[in-house]
Amino acid sequence: MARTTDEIGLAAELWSPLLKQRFEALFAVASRKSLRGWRQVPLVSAQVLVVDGNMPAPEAAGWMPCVVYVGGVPQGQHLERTQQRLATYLDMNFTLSDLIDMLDRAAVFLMDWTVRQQVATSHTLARALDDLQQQGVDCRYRFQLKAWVALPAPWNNSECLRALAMLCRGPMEVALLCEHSGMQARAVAELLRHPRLRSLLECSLRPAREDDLPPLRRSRAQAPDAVAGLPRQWVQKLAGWIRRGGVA
Amino acid sequence: MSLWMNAQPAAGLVRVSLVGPMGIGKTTALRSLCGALMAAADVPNLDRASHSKEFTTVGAEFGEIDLGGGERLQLVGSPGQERFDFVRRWVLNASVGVLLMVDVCDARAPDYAAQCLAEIASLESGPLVVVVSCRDASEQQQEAFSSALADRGHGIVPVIQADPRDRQQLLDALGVLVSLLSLQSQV
Repeated sequence: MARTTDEIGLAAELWSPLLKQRFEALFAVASRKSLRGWRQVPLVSAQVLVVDGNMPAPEAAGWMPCVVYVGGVPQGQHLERTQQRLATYLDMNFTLSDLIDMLDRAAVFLMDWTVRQQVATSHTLARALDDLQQQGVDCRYRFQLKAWVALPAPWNNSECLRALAMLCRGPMEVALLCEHSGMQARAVAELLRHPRLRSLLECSLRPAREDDLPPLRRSRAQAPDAVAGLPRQWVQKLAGWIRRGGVA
Repeated sequence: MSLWMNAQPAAGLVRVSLVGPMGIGKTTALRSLCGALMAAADVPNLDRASHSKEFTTVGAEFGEIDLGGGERLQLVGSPGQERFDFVRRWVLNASVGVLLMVDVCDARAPDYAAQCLAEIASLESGPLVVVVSCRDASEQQQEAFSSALADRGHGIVPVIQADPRDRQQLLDALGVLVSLLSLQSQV
């Protein structure tokens, strides 16, 4: 069954069969007694990672907001509690009460962490939209939608629909958005400021590109004419036919 | 094997498919886009239990758009009935894009669309898909439909409102597909 929005996802990477069995038996009870609902989920959708403290830490322990080491030597496990990360320890012979206590502490940490993440995301998006307003196609940010948004008129015209569809495909540079949707950068900026997009829009810094360099240091490289899949020229011809209202 | 059974469209011809359940308006959409340049395959509808319309399509229907310079876009409508699944697979296999036509307010539509998307995802050619909402639907209903597909693991699929009888609205939907093809052709 899928995790509900009120539940916290936990992934347990415990290699010792005895430890795994013990954890799962106690977790089945503790997950119902904790402050919040808990569910075991795959690593990709987890917010909490439980690992065997006697084994080398998996790579995910480095970026997961909340990591719990079970057993092992606490001094070698980089235990910490900062605004960004909680790395904590559970004794190898943990009891049900220890496990509930650990889940509660993780739940409280994650409540604060989630709020901080939302605030940080909102600040970054505001910065990105300001940058778009000022820099136009040279905006240093890429934008992406987390879900499809159907906007009312006048935002349901063909250019806006194209831009919105492209934003669903992944992080999108403003220059690409303008090129393939037919919109001007100023119009893209207005579209992205639409209130309905605000909670669904994500941004990230785009990788540096050649034309970020001063003009003298740019090479003569141009966009390729021959491209993967369909010939670019053919696609442009079809796009032109559509723009002319279906006239050859 | 007859000419239309060739898996790949002829040289200079690129195919976009129209897929959707029986009675959604695939033939009408083809007529709106291609006008006289189409070959319909209508026969009297003997399956009135599935849909009350008088005529229905058997096999695939073909339309063409002449872009000039010997270049053409082939639009192919696949039959909506389940028993013609094999025709749909054949049509999709040689397509660069798909307009998946549904009534987003129909309770069966998410399952139908999810099944089509799974079929499309399994193809080597990996055509791009835009969902066309062919009946009146609110913005919330369109968004809910896209979310239902995302929940079924099909990513974020654009849902464009377009009446199959309205050429301009269909051109807008086709334009969205073309912008995605254009983007794909660059990256």
